[in-house]
Amino acid sequence: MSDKKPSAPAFDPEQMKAMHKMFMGNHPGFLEYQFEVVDILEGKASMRLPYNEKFVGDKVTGSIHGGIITLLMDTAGGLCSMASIGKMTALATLDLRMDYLRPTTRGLSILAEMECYHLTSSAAFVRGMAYEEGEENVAVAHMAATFMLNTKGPDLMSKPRFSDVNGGK
Amino acid sequence: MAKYFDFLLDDKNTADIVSSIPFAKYLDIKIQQNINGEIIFRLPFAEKNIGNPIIRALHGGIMASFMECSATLMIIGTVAHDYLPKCVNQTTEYLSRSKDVDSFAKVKMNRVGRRVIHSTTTCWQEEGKPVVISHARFLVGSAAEA
Repeated sequence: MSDKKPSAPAFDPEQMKAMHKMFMGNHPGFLEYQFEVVDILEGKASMRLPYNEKFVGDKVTGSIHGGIITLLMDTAGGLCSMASIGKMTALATLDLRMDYLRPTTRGLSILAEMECYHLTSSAAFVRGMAYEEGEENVAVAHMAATFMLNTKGPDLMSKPRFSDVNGGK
Repeated sequence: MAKYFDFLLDDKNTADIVSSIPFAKYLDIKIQQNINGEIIFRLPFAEKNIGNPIIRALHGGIMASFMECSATLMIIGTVAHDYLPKCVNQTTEYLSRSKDVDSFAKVKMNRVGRRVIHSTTTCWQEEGKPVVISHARFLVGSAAEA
């Protein structure tokens, strides 16, 4: 593994946004969880999770379960890794650490802001914080994760290959 | 409401425990016992759990959620009968790629203190080789109320 940055194509956030929208539009999971891409910058990404009763962890307080925050931050971290290499590629999470700083409030959406703080040719190191919308001064959760780049999966920058439309066979 | 793992599990009892966490119910987590009487958690495969649609691997965040829910349910069933333990942090390590089949998890409580529980959850799929391992710390007792 070398520390040399892979030669990234010219970064075009609008194109990334459009591509991600297309990716999410066909993704059964992300449609179900209603994740929204808020912003994509070079090496940074933020995503939003609207409040939903289905994702509650504590019935009494209406606080969102940590698992769905992990899911949001993992997805946002993946998008952030793509934003730092400047193209849509398949990724795999190698490891992920979550710190739950405080319980969330009933009815508030969660906003995850991620940054890629180091990039090698095969791994992206990502960290970020989650906030409640309108309460951006106090974080809800912190995440640090490592993503493996260029794994098998959809490469949305190129034309679809035979293997892509036939379930990877 | 029966919430104990002290006796042989029945469907009604396990459904009661799972429904104490709406998100665990949403993931459709099942609690079972293996031939040795150990508690096993099962995440039935669902299309919405897919993270990579081409190789049909489960989403890493879903696996982490499943492990956290399993550990929480295990603590509810054994230690924290009438309240919700609080997860402080969780480290999840992904060992190999997951497949589009059911996932199983076993929770080992490494230390059960008065205020903190440390647990290790191992998740496997059809071959029995570990796919994901997670370590988590939970606050229980008076620490969970604060």
